Amino acid sequence: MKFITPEQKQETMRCYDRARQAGLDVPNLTIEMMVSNKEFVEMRAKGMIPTLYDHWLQDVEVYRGLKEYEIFQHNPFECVINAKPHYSFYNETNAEWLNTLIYYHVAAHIDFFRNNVNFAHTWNTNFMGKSEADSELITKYREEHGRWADYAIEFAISAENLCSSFIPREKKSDLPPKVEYLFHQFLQLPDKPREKIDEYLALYNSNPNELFLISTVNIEFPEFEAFYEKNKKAKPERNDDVLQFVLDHSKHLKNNDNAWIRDIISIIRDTSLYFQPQQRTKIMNEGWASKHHEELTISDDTIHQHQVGIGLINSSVMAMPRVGLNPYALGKALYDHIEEKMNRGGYSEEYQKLSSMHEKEMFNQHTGKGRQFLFFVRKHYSDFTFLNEFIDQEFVNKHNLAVIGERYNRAAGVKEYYIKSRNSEDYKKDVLDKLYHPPHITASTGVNNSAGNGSDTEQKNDRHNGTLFLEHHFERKELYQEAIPNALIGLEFLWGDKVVLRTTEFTEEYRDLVEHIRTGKIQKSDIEEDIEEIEPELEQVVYVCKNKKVKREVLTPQG
Amino acid sequence: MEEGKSLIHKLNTYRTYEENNYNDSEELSEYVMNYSQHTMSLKKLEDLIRKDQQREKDNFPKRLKVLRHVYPSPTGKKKVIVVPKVDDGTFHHKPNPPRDGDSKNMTGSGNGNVGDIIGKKKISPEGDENGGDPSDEEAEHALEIDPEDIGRILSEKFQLPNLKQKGKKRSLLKHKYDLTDISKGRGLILDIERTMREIIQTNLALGKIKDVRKIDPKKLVVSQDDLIYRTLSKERDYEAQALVFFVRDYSGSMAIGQRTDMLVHQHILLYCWLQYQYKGRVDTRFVLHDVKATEVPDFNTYYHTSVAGGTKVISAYQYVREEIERKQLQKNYNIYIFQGTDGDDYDTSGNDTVTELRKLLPHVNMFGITITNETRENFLTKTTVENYLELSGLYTEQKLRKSIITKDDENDIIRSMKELLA
Repeated sequence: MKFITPEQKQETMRCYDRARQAGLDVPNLTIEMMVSNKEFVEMRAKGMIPTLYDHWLQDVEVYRGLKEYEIFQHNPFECVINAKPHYSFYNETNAEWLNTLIYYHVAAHIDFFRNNVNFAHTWNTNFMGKSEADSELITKYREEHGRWADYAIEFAISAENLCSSFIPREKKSDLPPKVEYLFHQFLQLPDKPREKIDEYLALYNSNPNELFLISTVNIEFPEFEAFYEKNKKAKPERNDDVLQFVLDHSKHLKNNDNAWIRDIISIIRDTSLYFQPQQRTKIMNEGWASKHHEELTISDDTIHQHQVGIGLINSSVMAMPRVGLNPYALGKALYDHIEEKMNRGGYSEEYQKLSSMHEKEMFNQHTGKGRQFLFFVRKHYSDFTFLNEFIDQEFVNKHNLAVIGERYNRAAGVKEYYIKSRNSEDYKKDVLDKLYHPPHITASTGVNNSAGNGSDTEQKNDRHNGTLFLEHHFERKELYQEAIPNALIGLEFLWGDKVVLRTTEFTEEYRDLVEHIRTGKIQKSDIEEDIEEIEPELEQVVYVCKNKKVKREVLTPQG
Repeated sequence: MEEGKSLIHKLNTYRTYEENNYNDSEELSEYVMNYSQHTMSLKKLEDLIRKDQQREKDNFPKRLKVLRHVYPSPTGKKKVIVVPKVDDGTFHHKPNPPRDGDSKNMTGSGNGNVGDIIGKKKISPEGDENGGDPSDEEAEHALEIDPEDIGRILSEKFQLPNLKQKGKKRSLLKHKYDLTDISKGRGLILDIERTMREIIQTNLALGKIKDVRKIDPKKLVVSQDDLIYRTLSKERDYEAQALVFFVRDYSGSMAIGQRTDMLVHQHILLYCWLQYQYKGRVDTRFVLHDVKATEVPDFNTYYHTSVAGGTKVISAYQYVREEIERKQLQKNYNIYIFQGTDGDDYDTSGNDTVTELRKLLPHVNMFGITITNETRENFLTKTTVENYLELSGLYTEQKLRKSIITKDDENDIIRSMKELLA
């Protein structure tokens, strides 16, 4: 790993300048490094953050990556990381003219990191620095606790997708809780006199003392305390962030001897939160970079003599595959589509009212707002909203997109791939299905009772033991069963006590049926109903993990 | 040190661009220099496996998995496939197959009407695939790994026994010069085949080639980037110490069920294990037999050839013994013979066959017989070969071992290997 040469730096400055003129937000300070292929493989295991903590899971990745590289010599061109300042890494085997294209690509990535709201929580930290400090801390813990530190890391990683950056951490009010409740909720109850608000406001402003104010309130509204207590209890606890929940509620971790596990969980959680927006904006981010590198490269006179090479590389990056999903191509095509449609006024009410395809094609308001709208989209959308909102039939038609089905043809002994649908809704559904979507799992200690199981008395006992209840909210997809024991054993280690997961699974019979139809052992026509009509048979399943042993139990339907 | 200096020098050069921002150039350079310490020191596979064994002692489930399927083929794509992989440990959704009975849905693009079939792929793993293979799942696994590594995994992960050092200890070390490194644009020796492929690609893209069947080399454009070179590097090469005869029945009955697959999977793993035990110094011979024996040059032929004839096990024994005696192989090698059969033999009494086997056994270190017959799972009746071997009393010699495989499954094959090698 080494710095780029001064000549290359000069070229980046030129490219970034041109990118700025195109409206991209590229800071003055950026750091560029040249990296070998092997280093790329090693960095990939660390999520491209060279300073990330070490762990043996990464070693497996690297081992595998290097073996792969011996067979398939695929050279990544570049990589940008979202840190302050922005680091970008370039493959040292890139040709110079190719680097020019890549600098533009990188400029757009940097712009995206700095402006897309999904990254808001990363804007004020330099993750390179933070991860380096974390890494040192982990090294220290590894010296102190040996392989147990590695276990803690591994198990925290097992649950890293169960924390989310989407829901903002609850805002802590500056007001004392009772005062907060008084103004925000109590006085706004329908039967409370409104004029009291001003009165208490004046009182509190003249003497900002909680006790004084509340004692006054208590005289006038004797029920206040009871209401306050009731509200406190009813307050739903944020529990869809399992790692945070473990940190907050585990008695095991509150023990000072286990403070190091807390630190490790926090580190893994922060790392996960850092990476999540990238997973959730992959298509947007790559599309944005691709769109800009193409535009900026085409209009760049200095590299015209390399037209052929650039054309070749660009088209290989931008190809819409016959089967498969290329985030670069899909993202860019969709940005192009949005810009073009916005320029015609395609998102206006008049346009939406048009019924015939021909009228829609002819419609043009010449708004000229396409580019402006693109920057808006870049700022406020994530992959899901981006694809969900903007994939429409015109887009699917324009790019000849389709859903491809794979089916077994037993008679011919082949798997067949066929065009299944050209409907935009089907296509959209399939793309959305492939996006990063961790299961929705909420945690509780049994107090809220939502994830409870078994008899009441057992639950009460569990409450004392500090059982962690996890409830998986079924979204028509079951959990990957093979992974459940590993994940539960890991959580048990972190939580320090029994862990119970309640989830919904398809029944064995239903699974067999689908499998037989899939592999062609049973023909669809053999069954009376059409398979599409068969409603999946579901059953509630509880996994109990205690002392590193996981037991699976099917709950019999009640009533 | 020199490198450090030059980095600072470079940083100072940057200062001219960003006078205000690079105040801490020295500090920054240290920061950057530190990367190399944080970049992982590559662990060896043994370390990873040891780590996994430690997990078991700590009462956690093992997590290191080894991808099993091994399909060597001379055509390139599917080769020996074993890479370490970590067992999944996070909660995540399992993709549901589409409810209409298809195995999966994918996104795609291109011409064609709804309902058109755009590609086909053979279901069975062998055989050629007709184009239009869209999901490159196979390719993803198609990795080559040193058979020694597989052997190491087998020995350590599955606790297969290690061989005791016996026979002559020889350290015949040779150096081999091999063109291993590949680079674009510069290097020692032009790799003509790869370069040609590259040139064709470029010219196809340029539209210079109208008809692939009639390429006029004079009209092709050759760019510097198309030139692929290889670099010469020195590698150790040891002389072989062990010789393995893989012998299998390829008569008609072997085509039933997965008999051949099961057998060949076991044989290739045995080969890997021996490679590891002898540190790569293993030679192999492949012998097929029905009523007469024939030797084939490589594993692929050994795997894929089949005939519809009958079975005479004795033919293979004769062939191997003659080969050994003719070249006096037993003097220079530790000889292993692994024979695979479904248990059928014309020689039902086994008298001749056993006599032949008695002549062969003194030459070899080990003779492993593998019966691959799915019927052995349910019926306790022994096959012909098993019967006469049992009667012969040769098992007492320790050199002759028997294993039975009934299904094509990793655990079953490993178990059978333990039967042979334990």
